[in-house]
Formats: sequence, C-alpha cells, structure tokens
Amino acid sequence: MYIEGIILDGLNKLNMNRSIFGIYHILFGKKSVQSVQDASLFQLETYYGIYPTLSREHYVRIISKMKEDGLIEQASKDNHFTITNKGFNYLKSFHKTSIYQYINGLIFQGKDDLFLLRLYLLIQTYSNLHRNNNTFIPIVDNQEVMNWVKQFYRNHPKTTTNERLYAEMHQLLLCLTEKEAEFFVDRLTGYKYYGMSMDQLAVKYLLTRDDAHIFLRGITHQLMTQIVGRKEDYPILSQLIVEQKQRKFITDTAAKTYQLLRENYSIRQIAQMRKLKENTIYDHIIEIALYDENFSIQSFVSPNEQVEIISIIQRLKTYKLKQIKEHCRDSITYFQIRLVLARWKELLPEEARHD
Amino acid sequence: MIKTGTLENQLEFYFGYKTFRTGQKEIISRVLQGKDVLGILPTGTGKSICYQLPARLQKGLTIVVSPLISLMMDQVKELRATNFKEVVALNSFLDFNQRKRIYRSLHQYKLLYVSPEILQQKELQHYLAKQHISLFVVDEAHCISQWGHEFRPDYQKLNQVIQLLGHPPILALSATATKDVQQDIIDSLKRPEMEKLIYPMDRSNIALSIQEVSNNEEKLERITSILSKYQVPTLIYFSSKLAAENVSIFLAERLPNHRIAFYHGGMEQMDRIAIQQQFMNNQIDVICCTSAFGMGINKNNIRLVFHYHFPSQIESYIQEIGRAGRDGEQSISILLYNRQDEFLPRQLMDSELPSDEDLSRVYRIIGQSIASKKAFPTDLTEFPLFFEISETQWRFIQAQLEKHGLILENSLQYEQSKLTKIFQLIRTIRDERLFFKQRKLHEMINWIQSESCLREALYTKFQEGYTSVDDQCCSICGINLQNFQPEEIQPHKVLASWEMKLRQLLVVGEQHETK
Ligand SMILES: Nc1ncnc2c1ncn2[C@@H]1O[C@H](COP(=O)(O)OP(=O)(O)O)[C@@H](O)[C@H]1O
Ligand SMILES: [Zn+2]
Repeated sequence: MYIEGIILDGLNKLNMNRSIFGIYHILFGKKSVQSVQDASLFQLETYYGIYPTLSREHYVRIISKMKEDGLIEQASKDNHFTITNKGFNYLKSFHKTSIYQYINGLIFQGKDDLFLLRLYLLIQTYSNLHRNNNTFIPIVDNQEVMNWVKQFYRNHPKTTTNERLYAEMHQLLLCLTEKEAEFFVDRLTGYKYYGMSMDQLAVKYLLTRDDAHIFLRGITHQLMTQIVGRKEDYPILSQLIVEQKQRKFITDTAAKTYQLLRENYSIRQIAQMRKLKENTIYDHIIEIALYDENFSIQSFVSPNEQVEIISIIQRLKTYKLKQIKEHCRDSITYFQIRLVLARWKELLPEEARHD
Repeated sequence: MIKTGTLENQLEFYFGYKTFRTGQKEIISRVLQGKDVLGILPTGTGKSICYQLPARLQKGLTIVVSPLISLMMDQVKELRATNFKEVVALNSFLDFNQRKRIYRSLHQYKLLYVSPEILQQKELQHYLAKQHISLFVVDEAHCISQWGHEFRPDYQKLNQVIQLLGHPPILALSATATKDVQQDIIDSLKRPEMEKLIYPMDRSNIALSIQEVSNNEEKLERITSILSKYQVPTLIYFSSKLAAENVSIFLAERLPNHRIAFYHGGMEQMDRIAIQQQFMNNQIDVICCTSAFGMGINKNNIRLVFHYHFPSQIESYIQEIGRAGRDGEQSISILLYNRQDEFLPRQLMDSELPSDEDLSRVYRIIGQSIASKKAFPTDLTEFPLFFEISETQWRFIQAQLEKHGLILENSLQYEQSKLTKIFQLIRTIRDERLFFKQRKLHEMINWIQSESCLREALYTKFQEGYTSVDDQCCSICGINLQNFQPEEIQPHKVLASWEMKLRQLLVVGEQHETK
C-alpha cells in the first residue's frame, strides 16, 4: 500500500522526466548529484533515503506487480511508466494516510536510523537495570551505539531515569494512532523479552515487508518531528537525535534583501530600493540559498536550466564557472550557475560530488 | 586467590562448578603440563572451560582463535560477569582506535579472543610477539581442514602465526572431526606429537527417526500432526531460505496456538538477534531455519529437531540434531526424506565451486590484466563481479591463488607459464573437492537408507563404540511416541495495550512480572 503509493506519487511528480529508476535512487538515498537534485527539483525530498535496504531487483519486482495490478502502464520509452485511472485513485487514498503526512526523508535521513538504534538499546538497557540485571545480549550490535548508551548511562544514574523515560515515551507515543503506537511498542526489547522482527510485525499488522519498513520509517519521522519541535518536553529523547548542522551566518545586508524578496519584490526593484548594484543583490541571493535550505531557487533558475547546468558539471567534472558557462546555452547566466552550485555543494556530502 | 589445591577446587572457585564433565579434567591437566592437545568433545559439554581455567591459572596470555564473533562476545560478557576482567575480544566490529588501545595494553590481559582474519594483521602480530603466550587455542579446529564442513582459508595460516609467537603449546578443540579431519588439523598445525583426546559424541537421549515421504505436502502433514501434539521448543531445518519462510507462514496458519518464526542468514542483524533471543526466552516455540541458525545457541530444552531437507554431510546432521536435549532429557530428531531431495545438495555443490568455464574465464582475465597492466579492483568485494562468478566461487579460487603466493594487485608481474600451471592445479583441487563432497553426500544418503540400527550406523564412523539405547533408539529399532511426554512450554501472557507493554518494559517491578 505505502510503497506503491510512494512510487505513484513519484511518477506523478516526475511526470515522465525520469525513468522509473529515478524514484529508486531517491528511495534508496543514492548519494549522487542527480538524485539529490531530482528530489528537490521534483519535490520528492520527503522520500529521499527512506528505504536504504531496498534492492534494485526487488524494486523491479514491485514495479512489475504494480503493472500487473493495473496501477501503471508501460510508456513508449523504455523504463518509463504512466499512471492509470486506477493508479490515480490509489494515489488519492495514499495521500490520506498518516504515513504520507509523517514521512520526511531528506531532513531525517541517516539520523532516523541512529535515533532508533539508540532508543532500542536505551530502553533495553534501562529495562534490565531496573530489574538489577547487568548482563544481557544487546539487541543492537553496533559498537558506536553501545558506547553512546554507556556514556548516557554514566550521566544518568538509574534511580529516576526509568520513570522519566517512561513518561517521555508515553507522552510521545500519544501523537500516533493506536495501531501505530502498538506497532512501535511491539518492536521494543526489554528485560527477558525481545521485540518483534520486521517480518513478525509485517505478519501481525497485515502489511507487506516493504510496507512494514515504510510504516516504521513514517512513525519514526513523526516521533522525531514531535521531539525536535518541543525539545523542552523531551529532555531525554531529544538527546537521541544528532544535532542539525549549525545554522550558517547571514549578513545583515543579505537579511534585508531576503526580507524584500519575501515581500515579492524583483531583483531590479530591490537594487533600486536599496541603492545597490544588481550584482550585489545576486551575491545576497547566493548567501541566502546557502543559509536557508528551504529557500526556493526555482524562480531564478528553472528546473530545465538546473538540469542542463548539472549535466554539464557532471560531464566536465569541474566547478569552474567559466568552463561551465562556455558549455551552457548562452541564456544561462553566471548567477544561475552559482546558485545551482551553492545548493548542490550543500546537499551533497564531500565524497559524492564528483560522480 | 588460591594457587594450590586440586583442579576441582579451582574449578569451583573460579566457575562455581563442583565437578568436571567428561574430558575436561584430562584435557586441562595435559594443557597445564604444557602438552599439545587435540580435544574432540561433543557440542554443549563445555569445551570453553578447557582453556578458560588454564587461562586463569597460568602466567602469560592465552590466545583463542574463534570463527564466530557473536560467540566470542557472549563468552567475554559471561566471563566478565564472573569477575574475570582480564579478557577481551578483537574483531572487525571494533574501530581503529579501540583496536589500537587493546594492542598497546595486551600485557594487562590473560585471555584474548581473536578472529582468524584479524590474527593475520601484521600490527597485531608485532604486539603479540612481545607477549609471553602460555597457550594458543584453536576453537572449532575442523575449520582448518579443507575436508571439514566449515572450511576457513585463514585457519590454514595459523601455523605461521604460531611460529612467530615462539611455538607456544597448542590446544585444538572441535565437536565434529572425522579421522581425516583430525589428521589434517595435526598436519596443518605441524605438531605430529599432539595428543588426541576424543570423547564420544553419540547422544543417547536423542531418538533418531527417518520418515520417507513422497512429496512436500506429506512433509507438512507429518510436521503439523506431530506439532499439534507437542508444544515444545522445536527446530526445523531447511536447505533454502525461501522454503524456511514459506513453511513458517504455512505452519503458523495451521497451528494458531504455536508461536512460529523463521531465521536465515539473509535477515538483518537486529532481526536475527531478536528471533534467536525470543527462542531463548520461550517467546517462540518453533523456528524454521537454515543451517545459519544454531551456532552458539545455548538453549538446553530443545525437544524436537526436524529436517525438512537433509544436510549434505553427516557432520552437519550430527551438529544440527545435537542442539536437541542439551539438558539430557528425552528428545527426538525427525528427518523427512523424499528421494527427489537429492537434487538440492547436488545443485548447491555445483554452484559453490567454479565450473571449467568459470576457471578459464578467470584465468583469461588475470592473464590479460597482467599483460596489459590493467588495474585489478582495489576493493576486495568487487572481485566476484570483476570475474563474473559468485562469492563462494571466488573465495575458493582466491584461497588457492594465495596458497601459491599469487595476490592480485596492480602492476603485478607474473609469468604466463606459472599462471597456467596454477590454474591446472586449481582445477585438480576443484575436482578433488567436488568428488569429496559427492562422497559425503553419498555417505549421508546411504545412512538415510540404512536398514539396520541408525544409531550404530551414524556414530561408528566417528568413534569406536557408542552407547546402545533400549527404549527410544531409532525408527529401525522402533520409537514409541506415546512414551514421549516432554514438558510443554507455558506461553507468556500477552499484555493487552501498548501502554501496559511500555509500563512493563520500563517501570513495572519484579513482583508484577508475567510468567
Ligand atoms: N564442569 C561443568 N559443570 C557444569 N556446567 C558446565 C561445566 N562445564 C561447562 N558447563 C556449562 O555448559 C555449557 C556449555 O559450555 P560451552 O563451553 O559453551 O560448550 P561447548 O562445548 O558447546 O563450547 C555452559 O553453559 C557452561 O557454563
Ligand atoms: Zn537403533
């Protein structure tokens, strides 16, 4: 149900601009320029990296099944599909699910798994300590997470922590539906009791294996959203989430430009109002793009232009503005190239920028 | 601390056991005399004590080479819980700095667990060579032998490390090793004088049953009908992951009161731990699994072991049924045999070893790469793809190449004629192994079809005699299921809501615990 809904949503938004594997790479969280850029170009950020264990073969199997079920149809181009009427109805009901509301890939990508592992081990540890049991087989076999929990324990001697952890968890889970909370708690491990495997959960909650994964992912994002939004209510649980990157510095003058942009003034108008050169305003906009990841660059450089610039950067394997400009069609400006670069270097981890 | 006193005193002092189990005392006293020992003790009888006690009593460091990381970790945890703190495990989970720290403080430890792969590291060897090594233990020693059922190429390099460490006394331990394998172990470790201490592996509390069926439906019928009479800890072995999954789902529908799950090597780590531990905690009754399940599992009340598919070697079979009845209580092993099943292991064998075609392709690619100075993959995991073969096939070829000192790296210089020779040798070895595996399979099938006492036929291959069993011996001598009345599992109460479950996890005290 969920996986199909997500793929349909992807197809719909990609609107034949990419093959079916464009969605695969987004779900898988491929660390490449193209995938990150696609995710933001086509507004599929919420799905980025939500299914990192999905294999290509299995994805192909899901697609064939969707075809068989009449949700999608092969288009004339290889590996391209269109959505049928049945598919659109399916998509509509997917949009009504809570998981669709919860899921928030690009923001939580990587942090969500770490959050879960820490939480599982933390609960198992305090559950055991509460019964004075110091030796148990940890459900999470990951040294980094174990070290983190050990460190946490050193700072939080057990006397009151259990009660507080329970209270926070209880409060937190109330933001879910009954079924979701039930599912999540069934996964938890404690004293002489081990939580359910994903396969067991799938059987119990009548989900496919894929949907069980996405169900859990969605719930996790919802929980993290709650915690991040009200840190003061979750003094323990908020420690499980690694900090966001430090917000970057923005100059006062760029901030003024930003304010005017939000009031829908054009670049030329802003330059006139502030008695500055247009080029200076361009610099401000680059600064804003770097500072605020939610700032949309679409109105300065269209999706088509972004695609062109990106493919040239990839082909030339260079960030040199002049070279890139020489290969672009003439109408593309230095400003537009810089804007794409600003975004791209932000979104991509160091090692993936050149593939 | 007591330094004197009988061995029994020391056993009790350090481990809290009053008496030794069969074989332990003999092995330990030889070890303490500095002799080299090959000990064959059936699974579950307590091989670990054979080096843990000497480690505590002797000066210097005891090194234990063990193939299973999870097993190492468990043992370290258990030992630390008994207040033996000078023990540590080195494995690939540790990061660089953690390892470094351990290397520098080796003198503080008395017992060191290592994986054979890590032991090959030059840096570790450098630090170990400075230590006084009181005992070098090779656990699961059958992994040394190519003819063993769990061959590990790195085990064959142990001898070089032993030399480097100044020839400490050796203790090699295994639960299943035929006479050939025993000889291989002694040869590979280069200790011809090694003393063999071999203890019987037959388990008189496990009844052996073989039931011939004509199709899979019949297998399912038999399993369902037996399980519906007994709700006891049960293992069902399969040779394929998919079959294990499917049957598990089928049985769960047919037996709604049983708690049934599956387990195989394709599952994620956390789910594997969860299922294993649920079984240990009696949260599950029945596990449908592949041979990946069971190593290092220490559950003593498994009552039924089914083989939905039979294994391709008698050694594996003995090990798998040996997981039943560790507590000595009556247990039953049931092998469901369908003549058509013989194809499965044959197919598996063929896919595990490289074919002639595979070999000539790899040979050609290596030759070309050397001649044209083309690069080999730098990432080891890319080799199978590079040669278009499977991982197991590549592991076999790689081990053979390494044996001949050929390591594939860039700007490798190698004469074509030598390469040709190596590949001729590899082909011969491949044929030998294939032949060997076929012989093993044959042996298994012959045993399944034997018309005299199954117990006698099974165990006399490995040892001189066996304990005869009057009552529940085997399906040839006769088994009476009416007399099989094992203690049933009392399932835990299932809590109604997530809120109660969460309370139970975090805040409810001992007195409210459900049983
Ligand atoms: N002499 C003994 N008396 C009582 N229990 C023992 C004795 N020796 C070992 N055990 C127990 O037997 C179990 C199996 O021991 P282990 O060394 O793990 O077996 P294996 O031979 O399979 O490696 C352990 O729980 C161990 O504590
Ligand atoms: Zn018999």
